[in-house]
Amino acid sequence: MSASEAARWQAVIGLEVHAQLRTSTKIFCSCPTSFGAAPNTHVCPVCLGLPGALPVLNRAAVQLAVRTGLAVGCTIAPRSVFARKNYFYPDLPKGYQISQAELPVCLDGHLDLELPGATTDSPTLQRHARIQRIHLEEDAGKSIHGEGGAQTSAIDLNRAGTPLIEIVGHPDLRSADEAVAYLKELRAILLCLGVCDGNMEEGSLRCDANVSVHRPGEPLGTRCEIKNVNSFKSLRDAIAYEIDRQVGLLNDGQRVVQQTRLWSQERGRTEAMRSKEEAHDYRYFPDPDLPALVIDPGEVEILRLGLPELPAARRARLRAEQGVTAQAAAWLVEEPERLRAFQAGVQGGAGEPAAWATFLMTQAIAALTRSSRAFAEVTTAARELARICDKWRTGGLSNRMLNDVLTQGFAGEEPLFAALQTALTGVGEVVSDTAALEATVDQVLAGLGPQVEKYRSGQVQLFGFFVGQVMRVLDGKGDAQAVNAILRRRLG
Amino acid sequence: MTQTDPRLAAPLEHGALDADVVRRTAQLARLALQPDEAHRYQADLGRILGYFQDLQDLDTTGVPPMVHPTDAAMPLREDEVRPGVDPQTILGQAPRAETGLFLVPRVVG
Repeated sequence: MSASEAARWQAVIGLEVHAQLRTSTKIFCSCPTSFGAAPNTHVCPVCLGLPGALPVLNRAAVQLAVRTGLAVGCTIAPRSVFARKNYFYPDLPKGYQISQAELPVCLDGHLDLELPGATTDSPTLQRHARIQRIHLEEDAGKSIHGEGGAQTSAIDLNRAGTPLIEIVGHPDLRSADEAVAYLKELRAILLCLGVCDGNMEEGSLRCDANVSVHRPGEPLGTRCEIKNVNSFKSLRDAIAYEIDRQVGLLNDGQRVVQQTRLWSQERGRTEAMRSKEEAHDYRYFPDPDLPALVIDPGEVEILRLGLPELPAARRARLRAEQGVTAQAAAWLVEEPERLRAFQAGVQGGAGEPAAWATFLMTQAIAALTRSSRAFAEVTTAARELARICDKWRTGGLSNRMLNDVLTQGFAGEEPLFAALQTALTGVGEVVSDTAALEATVDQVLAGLGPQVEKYRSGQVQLFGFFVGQVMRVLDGKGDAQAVNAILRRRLG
Repeated sequence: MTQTDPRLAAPLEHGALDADVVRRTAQLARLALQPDEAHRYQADLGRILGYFQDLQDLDTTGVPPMVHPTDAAMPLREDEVRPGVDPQTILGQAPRAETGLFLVPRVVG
C-alpha cells in the first residue's frame, strides 16, 4: 500500500476495557478473590449458581467503580440497574452473567491524551477521547481446554463472580498509537486509584478494540471487534494489522464484513471468530434478584474528595516543580512503584530530581533488566542509587566506573542497597588530580607521535581515540572532563 | 445490547408464532424440540405474546419503566471474606470431576 493510498483512509477506533476490581471478596458473595488458589476452593452457592442462592452486592466494588468514574469525569447515576446477560458456557454456572445494560453506574467521561509530538520533549498532539459508560459486572470462571482428555474441558470457578468494571470508550481514537496511549492512561489511572492491579498477562486488565476505516467526511465504515489483546504490543500490532486488512479489502473493491475477530500474536494477524449473523443474542433483562442500585450524592462527594492526585496532574507537577523531562514524567507515572522509587531517591537526598528521574529510567532500569532482581529492590535501594547518580553527575565517577558499580551491585548476592554500597566502595575514586592526569596524558601522547601529527594536520576526529587511550591507562577511572581539557591544551 | 426480533414485536394474526422464531428460541434455551412440540409451542408462545400485545396497547407515556417489583434500594454487603463451601462436597455432586476441577464435554475456546 502506498502512502497516498493510506492517506485516503482514516481509521476509527474505540476500546472496551475490562478491569478486575481490587476487592477482598467477589461482587455478589463473600468468597475471596485472591489469585492462584487451588481450583474450586473459593466457591459458595452464590458463585456456583446453585438454585435459591441470592446475590448481595459488595459495597467496595461500587465504591471502586464510582472512584473510577469520578477520575475520568463521569456522571454517577443516582440509580442504576443490574441486568442478566444470557448465554450458555460451562464457566458461567448460572447461564447468565450479571451485568448492567441500559442504566450503568457511570456515564459520559473522557480522557485527555498527550501524544508524542515531533520531539520527545514537546508533546504537541492532544486527543479528547470520550468515555461512553462504565458498568459493573461479574467475571466468569476459567475453562482449561483438553484437560482430563482431548474431548474434555476442565472448569475452575474461583474467578466466577470476581468484580469487573467495563469501561466503554467512544470511537474517538485514530491510530494504533492513540489506542495504546488511551489504554496506558487508563491503566495509570486505575493503578493510581488502587482500583485494579493492571496486570494484563494475568488478565486483570483486558481490552477489546473496535476498528473501522472510512474516508474523512464520509459515513463511518463497517467495524470489526478484535478480541484477545493481552498486552500493549498486541494492541498496537492487532490494530495496525486490522487497519491494513480493511484498507486492503476496500482498495480491492471488496467490502468489510461486520464480525468478531481474534488476534493471534504468533501468527501476527486477526482471524474471523463469528459474523454478525452468528452474534450472540444475549436477551438482557433486569435481574429480579437485585433491586436498583441507589447511590447517595453525598456519598459520591465524599468519594470525590478522597481521589488522589491523578496521573495527568502528577506529570504536570513533576515537570513544573522538579524539572523532570516529559518522557521521564510519563514513565514515572505509568507505574506507582516507579514513582515511589523516584520519591524515595528524592527524600534520600538526590541533588537534582530531574537528573535522578532520567537516571532511574535509563541506567538503573538497564542494570535491573540485566539482573534477576525485582523492581521492589530498586525502591529500597533508591537512596544509594540517587547517591551514585549524584556522584557520577558531578564527575566523581566516570562512565566506566558507574557501569562497574551498577553491574556489580545488581549482580551481587546481598540486598541491592548493601551490594551497591560495597560496589561503590570497591570502585575507588576517580582520578581528577591535575598533575597526575597531565603526567598520564604526556606519557600517552609521547607514544603516539604519528597520530598526534595527523591530528595536528587536521584529522581532528582522532580526539576520541586519544581520550580512549588515556582512559585505558587510567583503567577507566579518569575524570572525563579534566582529561578532555588537558588533551585539548596539549594538542592545541 | 438488547435487540428485539421484529417478528417478536408483532405476533401473527392467527395467534401462532412463526416456526423459525420457535426454533431460534428453543436453540437459545438449548432445548431439543420434537416436531409436535414445536407445533404446540407455536400456538402457546403466540398466545403468551398476545397477552403482552394487550399490555403494549396501553398508553404508558410518562410512566418510568419498572425494573423491580419493590421500591427497595439495593442492600450492600461489607467486603469481608466468609468461608464458602467444602470443595469436595461440591465436586462430589458433579457428574465428572478430577483434581479439583469440574470436567465437561470439550468446548471450543
